[in-house]
Amino acid sequence: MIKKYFEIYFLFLSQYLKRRMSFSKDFILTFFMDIIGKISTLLFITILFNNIPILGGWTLNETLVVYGLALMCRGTYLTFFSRLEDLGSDFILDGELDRLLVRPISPLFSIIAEKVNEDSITEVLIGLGALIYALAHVKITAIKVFFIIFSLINGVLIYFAFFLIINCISFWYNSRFSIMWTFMELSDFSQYPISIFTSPIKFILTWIVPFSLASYYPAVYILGKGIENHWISYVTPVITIVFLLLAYIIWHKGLKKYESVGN
Amino acid sequence: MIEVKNLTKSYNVYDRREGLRGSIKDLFNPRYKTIEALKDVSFNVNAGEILGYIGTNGAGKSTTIKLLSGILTPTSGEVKINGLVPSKERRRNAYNISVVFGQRTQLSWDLAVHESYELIKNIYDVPQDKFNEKLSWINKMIDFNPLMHSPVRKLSLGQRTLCDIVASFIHSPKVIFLDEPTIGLDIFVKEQVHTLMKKANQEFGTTFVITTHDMNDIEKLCNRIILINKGELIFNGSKNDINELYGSECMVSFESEDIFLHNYVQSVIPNNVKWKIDSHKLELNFNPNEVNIKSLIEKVIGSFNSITDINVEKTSLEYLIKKIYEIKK
Amino acid sequence: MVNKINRYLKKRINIAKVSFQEILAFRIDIVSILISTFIVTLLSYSLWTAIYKTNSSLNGFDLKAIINYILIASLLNSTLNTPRRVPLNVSREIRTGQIATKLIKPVSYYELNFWYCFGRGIYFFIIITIPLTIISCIFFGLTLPNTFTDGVLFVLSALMGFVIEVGLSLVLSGFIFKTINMDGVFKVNAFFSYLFSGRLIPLAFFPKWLKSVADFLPYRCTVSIPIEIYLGKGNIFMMISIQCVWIIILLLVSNMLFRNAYKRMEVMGG
Repeated sequence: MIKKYFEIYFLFLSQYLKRRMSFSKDFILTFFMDIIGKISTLLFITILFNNIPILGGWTLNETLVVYGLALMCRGTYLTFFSRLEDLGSDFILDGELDRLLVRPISPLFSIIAEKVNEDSITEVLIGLGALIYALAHVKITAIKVFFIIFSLINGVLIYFAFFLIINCISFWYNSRFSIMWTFMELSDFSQYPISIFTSPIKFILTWIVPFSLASYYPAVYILGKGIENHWISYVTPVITIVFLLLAYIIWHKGLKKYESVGN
Repeated sequence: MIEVKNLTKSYNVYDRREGLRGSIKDLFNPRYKTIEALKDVSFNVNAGEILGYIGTNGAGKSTTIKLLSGILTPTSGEVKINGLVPSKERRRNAYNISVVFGQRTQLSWDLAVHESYELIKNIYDVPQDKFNEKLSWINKMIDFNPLMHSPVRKLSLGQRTLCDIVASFIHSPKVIFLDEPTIGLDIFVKEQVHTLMKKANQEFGTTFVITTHDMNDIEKLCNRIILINKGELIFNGSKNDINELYGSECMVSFESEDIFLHNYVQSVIPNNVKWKIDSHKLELNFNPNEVNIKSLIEKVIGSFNSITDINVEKTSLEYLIKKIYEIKK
Repeated sequence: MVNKINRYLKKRINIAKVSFQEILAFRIDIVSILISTFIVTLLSYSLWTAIYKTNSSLNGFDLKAIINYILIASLLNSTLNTPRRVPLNVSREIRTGQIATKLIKPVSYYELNFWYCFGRGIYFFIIITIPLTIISCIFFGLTLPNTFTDGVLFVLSALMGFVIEVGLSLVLSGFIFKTINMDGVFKVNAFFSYLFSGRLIPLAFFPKWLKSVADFLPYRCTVSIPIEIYLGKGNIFMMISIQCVWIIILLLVSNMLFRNAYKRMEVMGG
């Protein structure tokens, strides 16, 4: 069963890539343009640390670890799951969900597999570059490497769970307008060590809009920073699972609602 | 194959108020009204039948298709397809059915047609040899190969619909639902669609349920007809049943160089024939079971010297269906 | 007499009602822009507050100054967005051929775009900048300039900055006529604008070499110079002169480019 899903996804992906890879000269140019568009925060951090040696107890390299992780997780999410933001408009309002409900595979899977946003890969690459640069100055063990990979997967899942919940709101409040982007802006907070922010912000970014679980808390563990609340680094997978369960429940409730009313 | 018992579907919709004050009231105290899309509908469809599901816009056709395919759950009543309840066993039922939505395509917009078919083949676990068999069978009937490599967005509406219908055959479903499939198609493509469906019905015994209000579709394809009006089922039977139950009428009109005179016509035309004069034109309406067309025409030609034109029309299905609607009101 | 007054009022109230309903329809877009800007500003505000916990003054800015800086930068930006759309509009109009309808108008295409910026600019100023200013005052503690003169000169400088942004956009648009595909250039320009106008971080924080590059470019006139005047820093006279120089340069160059473009258009036949 799972094998079948992998096969289908791979098919979607290869067909998609075939379409996109046909223009090579433009490809490189657009690639550089993309990077230029997304490099602002990195520049800010670099210029800032040119003026001050330390920010709330975090050095430039340590901040770059947080930044790199945040970008990689969000970038990966945006690359593979961005079709979710069309849930309200294309699938619910325009009724595209109907043809997915008639197929013998999960409609959620169909929605996600349909589109790959290769634009966002530049974000992943910038994050990776920042991360590698920063970690070159830190002692890395094999455990920590595994931890990083694990945190990245965990981070993407958190983004997925959270935004699935947000987009499911369209089942109850149909509108073409998606509030997803407001929350995307909130994720910018998680590119910095959130310990520098006020308590309410810290709380929201940890428990309600849990983006800091993808970047800050893993960084706390990797860098061995013994600040308060660092125990959260150890329980991030639990919180992720809670959010995933919540997303699962809400998605199914939403589908039920769609089945009782249609579009 | 398909069992529908007391199927009812009603839902609550926002009842929006007018004007500015209304919009504000809506924010704080929204009103709902109940729409009854289907009321207590029951019918059966046997394997291999081609059912025409007819109704005006808003009568409940699309709702029925959605209920039968499992997209909607019924408010009350039962639906079973091949023993499975569609809304409860959606995955298993999906292998048995296919749905073609008239205006929306299930093919991927940017991909070539054959790539979409590859996807479908994968999704429904169709073995490669059966897949190739199916496509070559289809190609025998309608010359299909030139379309295969074209991206879907470059196809015309007719070509796209054709590709959609072919797509619905790939996994050899037992039942295919089509929701207004021939809207906007030209006669040539319509013919290809009809050929495909008839042949599939004959060779594979595929059951078809077609919602439409295109009389051409019904006359050419369907052996059974169900009429729906305002969510209620008002007729369920074969085309012959309609003829027998609601009578048929024949219309013959004559044109003459002279003006038809009222009294003379009355003396010539028998009692069980209705007639109407419009100066040079005479129109007769009668039941062909009661009156012999040949002798009637011969009589008229014999009685009126200067007949220049004769027009014979057997009543159309359309006319009969309109009659049923009126009777049932 | 009473009837006359009634009818007079009714008509106007109806007009107001309809336009209010139209605003209601747009409200989601506006609210989302306001919320977006609020969040971005909150991030900036929180960051700088944290930075200044362990520093009382950096590069000549104390906490109050830097907070005012980021707030005003955001406010200026909300109005400056309007001229930035012009190159995109021109590009689209050329591609779709819509430009033909605009070229036959009695006002030159150059002027059409020029005044479009002002009309739209005022509209967005009222709809977005003013609410943002109120939000900035209430939530983030925006304070007024030290002296009245500073305030007046700030307004003057901001207006000049706006004209410079318009000029820049028109220069870019002028080049579209020469090379049809300018998307890459637009992106790079947007980035430079963001960086060198002082929107990302005050220019005073730049490393020396970067700062000297910034001094050469016109971008600083749109955000950095007006804010410096607001905060009462630097040589006001010199800064206003720089702005004047850039206005003249940009308007001349853009005018020239457009005039060349007209000639080319006539040759090509539109």
